[in-house]
Amino acid sequence: MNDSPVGFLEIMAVIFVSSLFSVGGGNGPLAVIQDRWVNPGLLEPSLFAWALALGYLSPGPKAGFLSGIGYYMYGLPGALAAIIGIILPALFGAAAVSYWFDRLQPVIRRISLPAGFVIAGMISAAAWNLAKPMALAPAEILVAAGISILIVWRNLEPAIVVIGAAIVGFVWWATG
Amino acid sequence: MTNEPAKSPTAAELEPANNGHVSLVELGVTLFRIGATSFGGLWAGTRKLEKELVQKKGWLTVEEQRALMVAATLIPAPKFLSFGGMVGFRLRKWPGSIVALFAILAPPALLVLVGAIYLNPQLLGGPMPTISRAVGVGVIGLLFGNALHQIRSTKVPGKERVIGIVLGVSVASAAIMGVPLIVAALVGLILGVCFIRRGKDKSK
Repeated sequence: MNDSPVGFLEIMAVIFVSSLFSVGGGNGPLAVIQDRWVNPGLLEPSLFAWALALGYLSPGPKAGFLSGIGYYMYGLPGALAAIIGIILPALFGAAAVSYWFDRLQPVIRRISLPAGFVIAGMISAAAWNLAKPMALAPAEILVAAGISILIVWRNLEPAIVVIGAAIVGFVWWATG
Repeated sequence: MTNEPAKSPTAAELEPANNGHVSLVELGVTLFRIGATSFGGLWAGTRKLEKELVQKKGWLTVEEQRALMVAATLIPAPKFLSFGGMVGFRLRKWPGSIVALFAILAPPALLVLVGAIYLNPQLLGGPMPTISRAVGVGVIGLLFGNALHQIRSTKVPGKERVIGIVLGVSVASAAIMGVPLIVAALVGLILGVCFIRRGKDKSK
């Protein structure tokens, strides 16, 4: 933890800023974490994917995966920094919207329309950067594509995907 | 799943149904329970939230709950968290919001933390590398699925939809080619505000 090039304040700041790209329901932190920590080699892609998978398996807000990211970056203080980093914008946002709900609505409505497309691009970049170092086999690409289609058209529960993938992985290992 | 926009009173116009004697402990315990028992995000948890906050506690009316859920999508933070923060703020102002946010995030954050500490895939041998790879493939599928869902759920007219898709692809391409993601996204947002003005976000 002490050797980590990323400290408490940086973790909190990056998570805080990344949440700005969550407007409209997107998962902005994913893409920013990928860009800031995974791509430069500060966070192992497998650990990133693992924290994300644990988050999908857990109940409640999906932002819970950030505690795992923070832990991998800087131990328990890092986990706390990540939690504070994601809670602060929600805290200020909740207060501001409660006060200024009617006045802010037209402005944020204008941003929220293009935000859907921009966030889609950000998430796609994160998925691409996650996939690239894994050098997926053609069969794995087909499986990922099939999961994407099921997510969009059948509203597949993420936990089912993650649990199912873990089971398939175990069976694959046991029989291979 | 309830995706209908609230047409009844806005959050600012409404007063909580029964917020006179809500203690911070009660607020925290209730939001913790919601965080520990809701799966699938804010929209999937609509009925659970209504059961806890409207029917059992009487802290909100159904109209208030809907208005706050709509408002949660306007905050640049995860929707579920934002919703919890607004519930807390309406009941007990700043202390209520802080307690609500920590309480609703605690269950998944603690579970992930325990998993990260004790199930670190790099420290475990055996099946973990294979399981981790399979889960990675699943997560990649999930991410692309979420990206497609974002595009699909944003309803804008034909021409602006094409512009939006081009915008999304451009942001992704720029980020993949090495442009800092935050720069790419901010430029994308600015261009999007200029060119995409009509339509509605289905997720609201």
